[in-house]
Amino acid sequence: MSTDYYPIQQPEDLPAREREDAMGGYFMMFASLAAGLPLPIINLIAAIIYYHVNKHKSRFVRFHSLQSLLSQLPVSLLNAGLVVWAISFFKYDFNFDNTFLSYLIVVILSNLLYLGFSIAAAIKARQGLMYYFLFFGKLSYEIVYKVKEEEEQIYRNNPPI
Amino acid sequence: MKKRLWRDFLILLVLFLGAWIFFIYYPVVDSEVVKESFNDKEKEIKEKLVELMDFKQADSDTTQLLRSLGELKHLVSDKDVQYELYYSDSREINAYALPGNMIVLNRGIILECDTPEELIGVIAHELGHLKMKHHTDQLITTLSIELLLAGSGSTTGEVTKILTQNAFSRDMESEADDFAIKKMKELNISPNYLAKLFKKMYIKSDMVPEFLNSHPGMNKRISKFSQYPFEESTLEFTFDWLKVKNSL
Repeated sequence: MSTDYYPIQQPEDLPAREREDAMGGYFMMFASLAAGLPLPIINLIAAIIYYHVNKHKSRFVRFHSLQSLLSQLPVSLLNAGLVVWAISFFKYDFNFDNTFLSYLIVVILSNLLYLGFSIAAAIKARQGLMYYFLFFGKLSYEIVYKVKEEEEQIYRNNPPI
Repeated sequence: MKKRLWRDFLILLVLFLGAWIFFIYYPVVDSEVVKESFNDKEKEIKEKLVELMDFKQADSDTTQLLRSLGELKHLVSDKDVQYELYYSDSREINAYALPGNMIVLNRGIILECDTPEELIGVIAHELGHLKMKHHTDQLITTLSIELLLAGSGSTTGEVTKILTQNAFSRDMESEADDFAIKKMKELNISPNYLAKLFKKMYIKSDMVPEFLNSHPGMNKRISKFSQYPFEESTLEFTFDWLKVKNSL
């Protein structure tokens, strides 16, 4: 199994257009605000679309788009969990206790952290620099930069019998 | 690399769970304090609403009407819902349930009822809405529809909104009717009493097609409640219903 990685592009090799494309991925978190909707899932959908649009561009752009997308997944899940939990209070008379309140605080902190790190990553990307989030940075690097053994399958035309 | 990935993943998990557990044992704000503040706020909103709409609480002993409504309220009870019954001076033939476990009876509907049993049916119907938390469902549905149709400011969007919301609302009304039937049976009152009330309302109502109405078609409701044979109720009240109505 190959453990080779493609070389990382340096700032001087990256044209301004690619830097801006890489930066754009981190701004998908504001997509729902732009649409005027309080729906966190819109951000996620926007990030998925952005990644798919940009995945055939340079590895630098792909890395930043993917890191933005992957790091948004747990935040979106946490937010969705909060919404479901909050609705269940009204619907099923769940007890409003410290477990919920502390979850709410942790979700708010996670969102703030995500926002802070995303802004930092966007600035770095604009400068043509790599910026690795904990876990998601390594995971994105692994997916984008690892050299995969291409399984080339040659198809041959055959007669019907 | 894989080991590092797992290590990072575990660090994130531990950080998340650690922070969650930390705030459970060292809360920034105690949930009891928040709960109390919510309850105070709810009470405050209720009081303001009652004052603004000039609702009168049924349990108060001030008039014959409110005393008799209080008596009906004690008959129509449910172990899961502690509700408050209010009287409104509106002429509109209507009764409604509001968030905060409030049921409001308009003067119009009281005058329309020939017997207290009919009004008991109305209260039971509204209690059904509270019991099944229909106002929460309605709120969630309205919000969801608004979000789904956001941006479609077209006529199509508006029509879709009206039709879907009314369809959902009709289901709720149907459920509340079923609850009223169950409650009336428990009190040994024939559900046919409500059929009588609906017939009177039907004559006075505007003929709105069912798909545009938030309530199931009146014909359907009358048939549903008419299925039960009419039997004179044996319930005894401490008030004279005619006198109560004449006092309005």
